[in-house]
Amino acid sequence: MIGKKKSIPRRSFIKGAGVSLALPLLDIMDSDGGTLDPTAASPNRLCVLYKGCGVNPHSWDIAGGTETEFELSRILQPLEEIKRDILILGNLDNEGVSSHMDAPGTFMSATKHKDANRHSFDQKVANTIGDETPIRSLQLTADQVWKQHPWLNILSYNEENQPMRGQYDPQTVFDKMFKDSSELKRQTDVISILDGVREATSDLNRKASARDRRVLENYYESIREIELDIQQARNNSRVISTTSKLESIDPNLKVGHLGERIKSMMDLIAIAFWTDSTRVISCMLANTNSRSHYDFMGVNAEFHYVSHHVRNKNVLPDYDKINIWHVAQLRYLIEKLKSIPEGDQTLFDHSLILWGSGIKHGDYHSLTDLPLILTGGAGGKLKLGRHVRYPEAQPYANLLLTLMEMMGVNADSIGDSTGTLTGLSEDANFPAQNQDDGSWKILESDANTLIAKGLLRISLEADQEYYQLRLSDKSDLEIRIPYMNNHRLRFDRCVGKVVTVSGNYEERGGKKIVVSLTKAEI
Amino acid sequence: MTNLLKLELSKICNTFVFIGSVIAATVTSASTLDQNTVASVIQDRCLDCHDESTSEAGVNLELLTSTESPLNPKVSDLWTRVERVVTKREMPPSQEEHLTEEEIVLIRDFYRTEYILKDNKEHIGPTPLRRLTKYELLNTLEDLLLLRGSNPRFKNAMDDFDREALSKIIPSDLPGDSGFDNDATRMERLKLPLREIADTVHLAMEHFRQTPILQEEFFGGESLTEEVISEHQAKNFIETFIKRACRANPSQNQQLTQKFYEQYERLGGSKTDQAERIFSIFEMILLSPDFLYRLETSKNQRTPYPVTGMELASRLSYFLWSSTPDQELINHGMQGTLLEDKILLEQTQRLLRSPKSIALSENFAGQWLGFNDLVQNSDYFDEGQQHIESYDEVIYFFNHLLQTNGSILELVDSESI
Repeated sequence: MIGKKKSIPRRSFIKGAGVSLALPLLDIMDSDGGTLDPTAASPNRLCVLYKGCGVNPHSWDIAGGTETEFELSRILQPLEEIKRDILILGNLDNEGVSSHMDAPGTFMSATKHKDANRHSFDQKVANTIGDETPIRSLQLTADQVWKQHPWLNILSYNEENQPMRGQYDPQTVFDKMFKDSSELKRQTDVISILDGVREATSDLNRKASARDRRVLENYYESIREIELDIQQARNNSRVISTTSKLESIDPNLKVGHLGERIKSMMDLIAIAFWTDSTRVISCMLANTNSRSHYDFMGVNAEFHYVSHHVRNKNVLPDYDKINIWHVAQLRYLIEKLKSIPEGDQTLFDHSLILWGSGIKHGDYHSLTDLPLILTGGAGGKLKLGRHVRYPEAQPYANLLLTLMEMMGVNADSIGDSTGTLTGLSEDANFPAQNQDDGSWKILESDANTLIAKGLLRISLEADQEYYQLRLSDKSDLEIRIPYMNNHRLRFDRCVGKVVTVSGNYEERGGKKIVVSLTKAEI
Repeated sequence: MTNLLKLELSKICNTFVFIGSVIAATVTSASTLDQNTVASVIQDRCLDCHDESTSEAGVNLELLTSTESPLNPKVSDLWTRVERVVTKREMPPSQEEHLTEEEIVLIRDFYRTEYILKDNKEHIGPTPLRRLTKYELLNTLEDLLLLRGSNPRFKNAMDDFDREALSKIIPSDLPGDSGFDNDATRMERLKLPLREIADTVHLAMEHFRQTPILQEEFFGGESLTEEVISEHQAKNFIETFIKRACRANPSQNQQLTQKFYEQYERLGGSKTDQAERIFSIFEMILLSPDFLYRLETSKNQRTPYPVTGMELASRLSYFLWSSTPDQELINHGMQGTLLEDKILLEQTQRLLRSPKSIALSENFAGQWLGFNDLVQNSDYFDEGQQHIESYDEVIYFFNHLLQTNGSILELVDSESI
């Protein structure tokens, strides 16, 4: 692969506490004339963003609309302005053990908890393309380690089923990618020292048991791996040795709270892809049992606690707010990638990003109809700006297989896959559900009561809890009913469906507001 | 009449615990024991004074001669007491006829099979090999290279040593099924973070290298300055370092010295960077398996055997200090004197008296009782601040219990807190 020379002007980084990288938007070409080979195709980059703890399905699901014309749900609101850059998938199932402890591993491999080998799909991709970049693949995590169930902190597993720990400190990651030329000396020293250790100790008679000898073999194997890593970094060296401008950079990444950390991670992803330091990244934004607090964004709540929004009272607004915030971070990344030119396109056009959660319903830990967003151009292989809901539930593993294929991996299957998915690279053209046949309106009404038919959704603002009945004239009839009324009619289950309601209403501010229901029929 | 069930004792008996020396190899392959047999011993030898009507000292052992299951808590309670007083020869009392050796062994082995072995097998086996945990490694580096600023002489030299910076490099250990992070099975499964360990060792060694006063302390008066170092001196430095760092048995130390000295010669180079070469060798030593791993020689036999003095020193030190043995302990280890009960007791007490023994509370109790979370898990922080006071209260309380051999029940309810 042809190395590309890129320079990073000093002004691009802002030093100081609590501020993350600000990338240059323009002017990335080296002033001494290094240029991209226009005939070389830009490689695709894969980024997997895992946000544990699920969603409130009502707040996530998109009701009504067509594949290309649809309204974003409450949680997806931050993506409104970049709607044409995203592809929202629905009805993909990842059945198996339904403990959310299992979710990250199974999200990445579509294997089940007891399976022997959870070789994750990003690592399968790294096996194929990882040798072309200085760093084979990168694992990041913005969440704390949950020690009681260690495997729930891990997304990526290598071929030998070894968990690959995520890097937590952005500065460390940055240093790993961009040490100046003194790194070369350090690399040489490391190789020399480990070589010396091996020479001096590998033949020693240690009278160890058979098992112990295996442990020692792993040790010597690690030496070999380090040598190979360093060799690969040198073979594919891009910015590391080719520009002296980097020596003057010292971003001094300090992270004060979770929000800053995640932003830094997004910046790092962008810069890693931009400099082609790696093409495979997995990042755990929140683990599936996340005890992180979101007080930095004004929500005094722990993510996992509020994800159990049925059994815990009054936490749903906070739960939605956190999820909305996470979606906003995805927008941040998308906009960043779109701002970086590559050839006559942008870095976004050559990225493939999977954003999602391993479970759907945060409280019930359901594994059907996972919340998933695909974005990035994937070199033309993803057709964006759509909401594709598969009429029949598909195995989530099929998505992983399809993404692997887009990244150039030849594989027959992964996990419990049955084939690849249609509808990702081209229009799916599935029959639309819940279509407006013009009959959604207030059918009858008098001074106090009314009967209306429409598509039921929940309110868009996370703070207010009421329902909206979408009518054919695109207006919404507000429904604010007491809890017991809702409970007796089991009204909540009608969300996402076309329903005919009968009840009492009040006029407030010129609008009709339904304040109690006598009947609700689907 | 009852059927005599033949129960074969499995051959693997108690394996080595850090403090024990030889536990008599009780390979009772030919003994026959069953509940009835021991019950008849109780019947014949104990019930005269300890049946329902007599109940000397309030002890009634009739339950042990009934068909009650050993799993009945009342039964297990009694057996525990019986086993203890019988093996200590406190019972029968001295004026009575003693139990025969056979009878004592019978009771002891019955107790072991019934209550200690799991599915007739030891649930403690040979100690699986593992590397030093992150905590142990950092402590070892600090103690070995004298980086800890506890000595006021080093006050100024210590100013820029940053343990925080050192501890950021290696990823944190994850606990295993045992719940602890020094779980060998878990550590085997995780990828060895050798590159990060190499970077950490390098950082520590850099500090050692740039602070001649530490080298003087380490080598007893000499520092590795720019002066010319003779072959003989170089070999001495290397040998001293290996002896202190590798915790190896004397014969292994010899081999290591030879091998690393060969590496020193291999590094070649001009006369002026001899010191630099030696520090490279030190770094190599600190990355060798003999330093990073808790290696012990294996005799590959199924019955217990004593560990060597040096191995015992290492076990004792890592248990009480989560760190490397100091020179005094190493001396006893090397000479084998640590295997003597008197010396072992003295050294154990010495280690417990040292402030470094706080590590046992910090490491073991911190994980066992989970109070490490108070300072490690940001969930428990108040606006980003750790609750140091709460943490200190718990850790010093536990340490106090440890030092005074307090009752474990104090953890549940205590008068003094």
